[in-house]
Order: sequence, then C-alpha cells, then structure tokens
Amino acid sequence: MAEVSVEVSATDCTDLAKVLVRADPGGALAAALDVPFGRAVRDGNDALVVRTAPDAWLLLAAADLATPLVRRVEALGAGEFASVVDVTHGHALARLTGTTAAVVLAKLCAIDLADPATPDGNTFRSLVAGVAVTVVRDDARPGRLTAGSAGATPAGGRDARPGRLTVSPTASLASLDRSDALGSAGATPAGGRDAERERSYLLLCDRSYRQYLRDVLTDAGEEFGLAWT
Amino acid sequence: MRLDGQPGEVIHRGTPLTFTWNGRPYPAFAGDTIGSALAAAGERVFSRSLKYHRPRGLLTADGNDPGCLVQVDGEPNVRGAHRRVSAGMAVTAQGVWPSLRFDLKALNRLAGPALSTGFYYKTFIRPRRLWPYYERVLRRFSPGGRVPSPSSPAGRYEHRYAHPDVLVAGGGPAGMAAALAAAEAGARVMLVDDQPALGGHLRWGGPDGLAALAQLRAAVAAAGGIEVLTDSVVTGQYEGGLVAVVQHGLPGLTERLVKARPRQLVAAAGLIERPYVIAGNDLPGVMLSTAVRRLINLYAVRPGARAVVFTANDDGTAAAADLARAGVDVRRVVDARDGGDIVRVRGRGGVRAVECGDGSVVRCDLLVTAVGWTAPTGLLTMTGGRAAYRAGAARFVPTELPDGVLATGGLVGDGTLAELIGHGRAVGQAAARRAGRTAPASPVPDLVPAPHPELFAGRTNGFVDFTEDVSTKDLAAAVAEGYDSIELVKRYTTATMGPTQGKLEAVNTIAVVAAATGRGIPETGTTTARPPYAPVSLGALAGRNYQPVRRSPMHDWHVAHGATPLVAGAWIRPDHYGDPAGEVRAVRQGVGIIDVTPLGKFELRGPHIPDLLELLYVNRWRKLAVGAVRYGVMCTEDGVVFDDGVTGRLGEHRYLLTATSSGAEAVGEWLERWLQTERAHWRVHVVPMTDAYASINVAGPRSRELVRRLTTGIDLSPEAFPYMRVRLGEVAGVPDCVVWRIGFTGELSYELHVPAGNGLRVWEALLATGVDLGVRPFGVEAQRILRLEKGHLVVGQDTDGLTQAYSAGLDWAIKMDKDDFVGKPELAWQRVRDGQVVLVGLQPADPELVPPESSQLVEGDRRIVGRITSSRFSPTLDRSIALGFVAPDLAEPGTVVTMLLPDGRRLPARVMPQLAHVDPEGKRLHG
Repeated sequence: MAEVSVEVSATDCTDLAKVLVRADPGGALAAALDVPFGRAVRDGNDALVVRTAPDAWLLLAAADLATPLVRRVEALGAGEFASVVDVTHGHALARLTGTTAAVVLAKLCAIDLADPATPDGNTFRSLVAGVAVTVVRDDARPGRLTAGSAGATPAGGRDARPGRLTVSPTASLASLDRSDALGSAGATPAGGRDAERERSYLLLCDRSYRQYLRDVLTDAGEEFGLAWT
Repeated sequence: MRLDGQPGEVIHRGTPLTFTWNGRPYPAFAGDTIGSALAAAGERVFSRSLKYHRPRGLLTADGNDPGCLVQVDGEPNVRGAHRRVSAGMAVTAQGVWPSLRFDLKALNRLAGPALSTGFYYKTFIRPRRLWPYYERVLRRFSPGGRVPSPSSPAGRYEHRYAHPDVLVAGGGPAGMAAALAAAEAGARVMLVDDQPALGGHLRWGGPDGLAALAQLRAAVAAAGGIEVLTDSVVTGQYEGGLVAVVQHGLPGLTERLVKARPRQLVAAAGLIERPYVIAGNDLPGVMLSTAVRRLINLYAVRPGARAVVFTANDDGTAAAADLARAGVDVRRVVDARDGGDIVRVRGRGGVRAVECGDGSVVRCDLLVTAVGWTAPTGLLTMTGGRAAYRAGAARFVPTELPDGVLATGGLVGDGTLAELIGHGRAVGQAAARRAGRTAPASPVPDLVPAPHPELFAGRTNGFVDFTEDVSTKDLAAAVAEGYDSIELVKRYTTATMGPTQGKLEAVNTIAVVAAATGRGIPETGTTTARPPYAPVSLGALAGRNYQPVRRSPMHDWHVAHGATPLVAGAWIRPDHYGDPAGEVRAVRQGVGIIDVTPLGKFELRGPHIPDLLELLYVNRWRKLAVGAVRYGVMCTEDGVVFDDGVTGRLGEHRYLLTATSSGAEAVGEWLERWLQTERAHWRVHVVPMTDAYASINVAGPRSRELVRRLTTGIDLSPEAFPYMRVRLGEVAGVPDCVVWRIGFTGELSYELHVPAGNGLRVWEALLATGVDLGVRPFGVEAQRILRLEKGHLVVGQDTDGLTQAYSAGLDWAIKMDKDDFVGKPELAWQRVRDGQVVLVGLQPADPELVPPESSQLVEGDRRIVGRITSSRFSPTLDRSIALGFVAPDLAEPGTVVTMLLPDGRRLPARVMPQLAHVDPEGKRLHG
C-alpha cells in the first residue's frame, strides 16, 4: 500500500483561474455543463465545475486558463442569455488536505462533513469562522498526484518520489500552472486505488479574507500540525 | 492514608509529582485529583462554606463535590475533586481570610439570625444612601475565587461542531452498551462521560465489575464509529436539537465546546447519590458511600480511621466492606432497612462522633451515608421530557421522552449488570434505527427502579444545600413566610442555585418543603431544569476570537509605510500616514493616491439593466451611453436614502455599478432581492466584483499627468475622456483595468479598478512614476476632509435611518416624472410636506473651532433645530467647516444658527450658500 500522509496540510491556491457562469438552469448551457446543484465535477478537459446555485456555476482551472475557459463556456451558451465572467481576482482559494482535514474544518464550520452528508464531489456555501465560504469536497487522488503523471513535478524542489501520496494539496499548488491542475474528469486513480483518496477540501471566499482564512486555518490546525505548503 | 495497590486504581505510582496547597508542597501521583491527593496526605478541610464559612471537606469525591471548590494557578472555582493534579500546580483555598484554617469570616456564624432565609431581601436596604458602603463590605464576603488578572494567561478555548447519528450522554455500562449497539448498526456515535475514563460505577466496583468494564472498554475501543469524549460533560440541549458538550483535559487546550447536532440523544447519566440531612451533616468526615468507594478503589486513599456507616441500600453495605478491607475500623453499620437511624453528627472542625437513633453515641472520624439516589433527569426535561416521583423507589424517574431522545441505565431503573447492558443495547439499537440505520428491532426490556426507603431529612436541622448554606430550618422558614411553591422557595432561599445546581440537593429540598407544607413530594413538584447542567466557563462559551478581517491587496504596503489603521466594518483601511492635513494639501496642489478597494462593485450583465437602474435609483438611466458614468441615489420604499454611487456603462449590456464601502453587501442583496422576487422576468445578472478589483483613486491637478504615464490604449485628453466617463485599458502593464474619471475629492481625479492580484503592482508603479510630481498616498481621513471641503455627503454619515432624499439635498437627482422607482410614493409626499430638515453647509464663526459631530443646533433653550453631521478643519481654507441638518426656516444662506457643543457652550455658525466649501463651481473637478 502506498504511503499516505497522516498530517493535515493547507495550500493557497488563490492563483487558480476562476470563472463564474450565470445561466438559465433549464437552458443549453446548464445542460452542457451537466452538474447538479451542490455538486462539483471535473469537466473532462481542464476545469472543476462547481454548481454553487441553481443558476450559477464556478469553474476552477489552472492559472493561465481563464480566458480560454471563458471563451469555451461562452460558446456553449451561444444564443441564450448567460453571463460568463472571469472572477479569478475576486476570490481567495485554499486547499485543506489530510486525514484530519475534516476535523480541522469542523472547528470552523457548522456543516456536517461526514461522508453521508458531504461526500467527495459535494459543495456547499456556509460560514467558515464567520466568513461566507464555498466549500468543495475534492478528495486528492493518488493517481493524480503520483510523480510521473503529467506535469507532476512539485514546485520548490519538494520530494516527489514515485508512488508517494503525500502533499496532495502542495501538488495541487505546484500544478497550478498545469492544465491538469485539478485532474481530469473521471480520471481513474493510478492502480484503481480509489479507496486511497485523501480527504481534501477547497475553500473559496472573497479575496479580501485571504489572510484571515489562512490565519484561522492555521489556528484550527495547530493541534494537528497543520503546515502550509 | 495511602493504601497499597487497588485493582481498579487510576493513579500511576510510577509517576510521583509534587504540587502546592496553600503554599505548602504535597506529594501526589499522576491520576490523582486534587481532592484525592490532599486526602491521601491527611487533609480533611478544603474550603469554607458560602455564608457561615464552615469548614468543608470531601462529600462526593467527584465533580459534584460542594466542599472542594478551589483556585488552581489563578483559575477560580475549580472542582478540586475532579481536576487532576499536575506537577507544580499551585492550589489554594478560596474566599477565606486570613487562612483556610483560621478564617475570620467564620464569625458570620455569630450573625446567623441576620443571615437567615432571604436576608438579602430584608437587610442592607435602609437607609438607601448607605448602600454604596454596604456594597463595599458585602463584596468582601462574596463567594468564589478571585478572577484572574487581565495579564494572566488566558488559556486556549475552542469550539467544534459535530453531527453524530447518536450522542450517548453517560459512559457507564448502559451508555457503553448503547453506544456499541448503535455503532454496530452503522451509526456514528459520540459517547460522552464526565470522568477521565469510561465505566461509571463499575470503575470503583468489585472484581466482577472491573472484569466487565475491561470487556466493555475493549469493545468500545475496537468498534468503529464511536468517538469517545471523556472528561467531558453534556451541559444541555438547546433549540434545534443542539447539544452542548464541554470537553476538558485535552493537551494544549483549556476547554472545548462541542456543538453537536445528534439525530438521537441517549441519556445515560446514571444516578447521583444523595446526602442525608441531619445536624452536622456538613462536617468534614461526612461522606457518601460512593465517595469512600471512589477514594479507596480509584485513588487508594483510606478516607478515615474509624467509621460509622448509615445505609439504606446494598451500596452502603458494599462501602462498609470496602472500608473494612482498607483497614478502616467500621465501628457500626446502621441499616435503615432494619429501622436504624442516625440523628446528629458531633464535631467542630470534623466528625468526632455520631449520635444514633437508639440514643447511642459512636466515636468516629468518618460517617458514611447511603440513603438513596437521585436520577439526574435535568437533561431529559430540558428536551421536553417529563419525570415523575416514584415513592417506592424514593426518586424521580423519566416518564415521557420527546422524539429524538431515549434514556437508559440507572436514570431509568435498576438491575443487574447484565440487565443494564441489555437495556443499553436495546436502546442503542432503537436510537440507530431512529437515526436511519438498520438495527435489530429488539424490544427494550423493562428496567424498574428498585424499592428504596424514603430517607431525606432526619430529626435534626441540617444542611440541605451545601453550596448555598441552606438548612432545613431555612426552608421551613421560607414556607412559614408563605413561599409554598417550590419555585419560589428556590428563589427565596437560593437552594439548588449554587454550583451543583440541584444535583445533590434538589430532591432533599423538595422533600423538606413537602414536609413543611404537608403536601406530598409529587404535589410539590420539581424546579425547572435549564442549561447548563454543569458549570461552564466564559472561555468555553467564547471560543477562539475569530473576528473576520478584510484586507486590500495593498494592506501590507500600508502597514509597512506607517499607516494608522482604521477599522471600517470588517475592512482595515489606512486612516492616514501621519499627516492627514499634509495629505490633503498634496492632493489639492499636486497628486495623491488612495486605496479605495472596499468600494462596493457589481458587474451587471443583461438587456434589462436600464430597467433595473431606473427602478432602484431615483434618477434617470435609460440614455446612459457606452463609456458614460452617472451618479445615482438609491432609496428604500420609505424614501430614505439607502446608498449612492456611480455606475458606468462598459458595453451594450455590461455595466459596472459601485456602492458605498459600508453599503456594498446590502446593495448586493437589494439588487438580488428585486431581481429574484419582484422582477424575475428581467434578464440581468449581478456579479459581485468588490474583491475582484483593487481600486485606487488618483486625485489632484497633476493626476492626469501621472495616470497618462502608466496607461496604454486610453486617450486621457479632456476632450476624449471628460468628467464622468469610463474607459477600459491597460495600466502599468496590467490589462483589463477599468479607468473612471470621477471625483469624490473635488479634484481632477481618476479611479483605477485593477484586477486585484495586480493591485500592489499598480500602486507601487504610481508612486514610483510620480515622484517628480510629488505624488504621495493619502488615507481615509484626508479623503473625508477633501470630500467635506467639496460638500459631498456620505450616506450613513450625513444621513441616517430617517433621512429622506429631499432632506439630503438631492432634489436635483430625483425624477418624479419617471413612471416608477423605489421610494417614489413616499418622496412625492415628502416633496409637498412642510417642515423637513435640510442638509446645508455650515461654517463656525470661530474658524478655529471644529464642532464635534452630532453637536445639536438649537434655538433658545428648548428647541432643537438640527445637528452637525460632519465637521473638520479644512487645510485648504484654513478654517473649520461642517455639514449639518437645519430646520427649513433656518436654511437660507447667511442665516446664523447656534451650535450647542457637548461641553455646554453655545456658539454661532453661518449657513453657506451651498454644500461645497471649496470650488463650488467645480472648475477643479473638470480641469
């Protein structure tokens, strides 16, 4: 069995591209995006599509992909009333990963984080330490993070031994500039080790709370040795 | 006093440690409580009582012990019979003077009659003028420990949320069995117990109990899905099924408040042993049977040398056996079931002898009583359940439980260990089923309270409430004075209102009141149980100090350059950089830049934007051209000014709307409310962009020169880019910027909305590029001065929750010929109504005097005719200036009004011809 990190870690992913889509929930664009309300799904190309409201989607992708993403989504909605807006700079984004990630988050957020209520791929908006945050359960998959997969060399010269499953959030950060920053839709984890997914949450809030969010996550994760990577 | 190893002891003899008690060192073992360590060292007195300062020792030897509240390392009111000793811990007695042993406050006993029932309603009342002196003296007698000084370490307190399927309150055998059964059915279980380890009464029981306990603990540890919280207490259930659990003893953490929302709550709180009420029952050396069994079996402490045991049940008999095994000389066992009784306990600082019902006197230093049990039904009644008195068992038992709540164990009834476990398992399965899990539908077996004699108070006057020093006589006196309702007796005597909150004393209180009134216990009823079930610290309620803070992308720059912070809502803004007047002059004479990122910003998209703007603003929008900007005022339905700001048209169906910093959130909700609930057919999308742009206002006569040096793709000439226009382009190499030509300061100015991630880059580029132009940053204070000089109102500062648009001098903006807009009917009425105050510019006659904001404007002695809304000293005019509301008859320019300052001075000010004090023609703005 692969080595799995037991410590919780956090990564600032604010630089990821973020695109907000508003459209008729019964329209063609909604059908094309094909994500139920409250769920987050990889779109088979390069984005994580988070349906944050019946008529709103947030697309997350690698840092340099905002403009092509906007164009691609606009094309999907051609002919209907829809708004596709690059909101990359409007939000702070952090990833919290590790076996105790849910315990850390449970100090800050009143929502039930257990699997039956918020399984992988679930998203909700709630208060985290008093700030409105969109939370996406987006478990880290070994296959996506294993060295040797596309562009998986972590930034900063960090350890990236083959098969090592640690530092998934860091890997996400390291891969911000990669087209597969958030993995591929339906990607089968390497070796089919779906069960080895490491619990991970994306936390998105107004950008002005970026430092505050970092501070409260650090404080809440102190007892678990939370480290920012 | 320390015994040899006991089978169930929880002390770790391999880890000796030392702590201090009232300044003297004492030995202990890891696992000892403060009470057990002191008892092992031969100490018997741990505190003094509330009113009479009587010496008190261990009574229950657990967290409910009323005689062992102490101060620990500065922390007051620590339950010393529960708190574990740690090395170097400094423990002191509290509320005594000069010492625990010689407490002069014990002289209160001489004033006993003056401190009788309800004395605080009868004494220290008259003469009223002496109350401050009474208060000063009485404060010295207030109970409890000393609040730590503000400089003391605060400790770390946290909150945590939890959502178990089943929460089991109580980790005795039935509670553990319930948790196991629920977990076996797949339920997520939280098992809470107030002791440091699971087990309940099995912990201090015999070998059979210990063996069963080991099995149960092993099963719980092996079971998946059970989160065990020991040293934790369920303090109550609140609205929406919220169950509060206070968790102690976590490393690095003082306390944690767990806010749990279980789908099912299982109360398994066991039973609490009751004291016996006779004279001398509070003397050190009088203990409950459970107390001596805890001391012997958990802490290996011999609780005395010579004992009398008064029992009405088998637990008293077991305690006598434990005492004998521990080498205590058990002088006599008085069994109430055989008609035995005890009448009085003799002694001063401790037990010396016991007078028995047969007239004999037995010398001893320990009296152990086992006279009955109280079922702690408080948690159940908090949830809406009911309890009723069962005379045959001499205790209240649960009779009705609301949905979502179950009960098991001693709280419900008595039985063998197997019966308790069987009941717990069935209840756990039922809880799991109710929580949506699949579990066997086993019937819940009966658990019937065992017969028990009714023994509450003996023949002599004794203490009923140990923490409040309330005696049998006090309760009888209250009844005699007419307080015959148990709720009134409680409030009049304070019985059950102390730290133990009735756990030990409630049933005895009810019994004594019942006897005094001649009614039965069922008719007397109970007091109402309310949270918290156990004392909760303020720190636990507060948790971490998470106060959301918003920072602009340039925040760190402001800090590094000495900005004085200004808290504006959640935003931290630069108030000034040391010289606000100098900052004002820089803007008027050259160029300055200010971080206005908190400005509310909303991107609007869609074909119905003009309709939306026409509806929500009082002015007109339909003809706003692409590239043009317009100022707008929003009112609520009652015509009150709600917000203002400029909106620019960026494209055919794309606008950027700005709102005030403080009103941004409300404006966002306002826009959505109208679109979602009133005009759902309009095709408009609102995208909040406040945080997406770092906003920088570049102001001053040389602002055009500065901005020109950094912009690409925008013609900044006055002809191509006049006042109230907006352009898209590149600034300092940053694409997708929005450049506005607007002016809140009254100067030629440009507002740059830059993608936030590049805000600092553009900010620094402006400063670096404009060195030769004398550019300098200015803060909010300079901006306030500049806008006041220009006469721009600030919504919320120069308006309030009653200010309608005409009063705010916005006549020019209100277009009553529009078909409709929010607030129109009310404004139509205001327009024709007399007597509305008017916002005017004011200049005090004394140019040096800056009237404090909110100073009143008065006429004569009685009539208030207005107030100052904004005031500053103007560096530009070298005099004080203001805005204010005045009555319409005083609004004519040149009118002299009287300002009433907070210090009582009345000084004149002159009404100006317009709101603007500087450049009323707007030449600078349009430069």
